[in-house]
Amino acid sequence: MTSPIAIVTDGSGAPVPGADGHPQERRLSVDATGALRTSGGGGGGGGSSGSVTAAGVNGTAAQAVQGINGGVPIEISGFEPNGQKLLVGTARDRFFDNFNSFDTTDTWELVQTGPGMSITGPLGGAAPGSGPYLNIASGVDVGKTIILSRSSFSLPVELRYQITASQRIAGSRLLVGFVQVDDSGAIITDTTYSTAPEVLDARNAVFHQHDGTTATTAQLRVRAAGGGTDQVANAFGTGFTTVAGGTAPNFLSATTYALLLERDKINSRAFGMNVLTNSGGQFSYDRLLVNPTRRYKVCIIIENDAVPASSTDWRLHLVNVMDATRFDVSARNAGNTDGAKAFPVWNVGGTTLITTATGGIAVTIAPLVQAETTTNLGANATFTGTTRDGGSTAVYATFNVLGISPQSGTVEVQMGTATPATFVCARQAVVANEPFQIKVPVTARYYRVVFINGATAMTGSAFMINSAFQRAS
Amino acid sequence: VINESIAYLTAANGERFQVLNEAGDDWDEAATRALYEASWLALPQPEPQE
Repeated sequence: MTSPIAIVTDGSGAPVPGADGHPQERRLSVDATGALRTSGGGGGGGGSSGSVTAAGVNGTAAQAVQGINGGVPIEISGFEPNGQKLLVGTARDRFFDNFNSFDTTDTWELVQTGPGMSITGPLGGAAPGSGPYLNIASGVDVGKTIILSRSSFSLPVELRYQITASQRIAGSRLLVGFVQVDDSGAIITDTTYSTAPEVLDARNAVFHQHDGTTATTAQLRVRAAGGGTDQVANAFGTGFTTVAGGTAPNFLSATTYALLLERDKINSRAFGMNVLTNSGGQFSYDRLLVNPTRRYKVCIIIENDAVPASSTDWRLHLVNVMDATRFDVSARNAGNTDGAKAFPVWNVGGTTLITTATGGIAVTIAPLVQAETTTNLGANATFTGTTRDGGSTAVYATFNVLGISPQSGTVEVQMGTATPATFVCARQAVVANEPFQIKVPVTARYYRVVFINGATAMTGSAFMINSAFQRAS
Repeated sequence: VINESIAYLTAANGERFQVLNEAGDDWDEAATRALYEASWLALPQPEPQE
């Protein structure tokens, strides 16, 4: 990777020429202590945390940043002070944890462990299809365990996670989502307008909250700008659950949950895994929007907000955070159907867009090249091809027919503004065993090919006709 | 009944042959061919022209 380059300037911002008369360049890097360093000039020296150290312009000892920039801090686009890394996309790092271990050094920060709660594992992973998971026993005391990702993210970002629970019981809940953090990685709290202890008073926060006594319920909780927390209860639809498959301790997650934070909406999803039909549901939310220009960390909260009757094992199977830039094209409007959130598809060239009864969207694209026939014709018999639909929008330039016949005959192309196409727009005689082709400009939507055999019946396997719409080049 | 928008064969005597696929959105060429051959082969064929 090539380091960023800074130009040495004087106090007024004007470049300071080197001995050769050209502007002096310095390569920038960050050392293990977090100090920004330069290299490439004469001299140079040790950086110090929190300051910028430049190579000395006099080629001797290290000098402070005043030496190259008049004391003005250098801002580097994409530099993430929290973690001292340069950003790529909206995610500082790829963040993925399927809990081969519980790494509280580089991956997670165990902010606090609630009273009576215990974290064990990873467990499981021994049976086919079962991965290891982190087990957090809720205990029966009021309190909460808080886990933060070490990495931070900016919008758009998508969190996908898999969890299961030994039971769903009143008083115990699991929240998974994002909280706003500052450059040091600490949660930014705000109680100016309201308090929101359920989301740690984070000024901006989005969570899925798995609570209550039903395995197939969850809710979206959103807090924006320190205002009152909003919630959408159980709008995922059906088909998802926190009930685990498998046998203890090799539990299997049955559902993948997804939380997509975009600049103009929040999309919540839950869908069954390894099923042929995408069970579950999704909805979009945009009444409150978290600030898309701020940074966020993944936050997991296991909380007993009241004394539960018994302890619950909350299991974390997977946490996967993805840069969602590619999704940030604002498909359509918010809504609770696939169609409401679908990307618009322009229906051209015989493409059929179908919204299926199960909520999915199937796209059938008619092949451009059609095998018309290879069926031998008797004497003076006729093959009439299927009428081909070039679409209501003019995207094709020509309709082409190619073929060969073991007997002489006549080939026609017929066109029409409706189906079947019946108006002859091209015709030519066919010589036996000589390839033939017709190319007609597309001036109507529908076309078909017709072949009239001569007086001799065909035999063998030499008869073939294909057709194709051809796009304008 | 022939679906005129879908491929079919017409014998010299004007008889038309078409067998559609299960979905009814295209012809079943093999089945149409079998039906057609069974029919037109049974018809008197004209003499080949020189």
